[in-house]
Amino acid sequence: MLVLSRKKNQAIRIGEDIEISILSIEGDTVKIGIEAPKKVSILRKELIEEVADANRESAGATVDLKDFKLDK
Amino acid sequence: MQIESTRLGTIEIDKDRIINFPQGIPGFLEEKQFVLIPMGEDNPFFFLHSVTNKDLSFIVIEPHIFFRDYELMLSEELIESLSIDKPEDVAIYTIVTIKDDIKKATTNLQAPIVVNAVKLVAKQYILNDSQYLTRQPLFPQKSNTDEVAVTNEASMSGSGAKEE
Repeated sequence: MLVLSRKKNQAIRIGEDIEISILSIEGDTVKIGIEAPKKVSILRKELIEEVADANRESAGATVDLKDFKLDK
Repeated sequence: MQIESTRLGTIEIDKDRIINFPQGIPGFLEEKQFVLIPMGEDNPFFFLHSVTNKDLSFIVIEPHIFFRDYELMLSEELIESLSIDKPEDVAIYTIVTIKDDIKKATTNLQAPIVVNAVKLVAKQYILNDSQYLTRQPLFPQKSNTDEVAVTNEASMSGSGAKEE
């Protein structure tokens, strides 16, 4: 892993077309700006983990639903 | 063709109905091929079953059956990556999580499975800033049982809420 120190208003470039800037630093919160091509998916990592956790739980379900009918 | 399933035993599937997930599914990135298996007539649940892993199946629903107002915007990138030509080609499913009690089942409205039903390519699409939850209860808690409804009523009159 590459570790860099940056100050407020400084930025880093990743490849040709991704730029990440440090917009503000307050306490333990860093606000970052990301410029990237639309095709690059940008997501909070904890959200991806939350989705993966829910998926694992769904896969592990043992409840039998085959006789379930929806009330109309 | 036949596939093996821990849940369902040996099952016959139509190989022309295999849905490809080129990027896998979060938590199961190596799994790329699934089939949808309805659980039964009038039953809103489906298995989304791995073609290659007999132990892996998710429970999914068509979210509109439970949440009539559910809507989402597909990004241009998603439309492009799934080669979607027109809106009617899109099918949406959401994954259901159930611990022990079906009444407490939840579904992930923030990360729907978007399927190009014509080309059979799909992706679990995580909505970035979503009004929806990853664990949205499927059934409103107050209509679960009479007992719960009574409790709700009692707490409503206690809080001074007026009857509709």
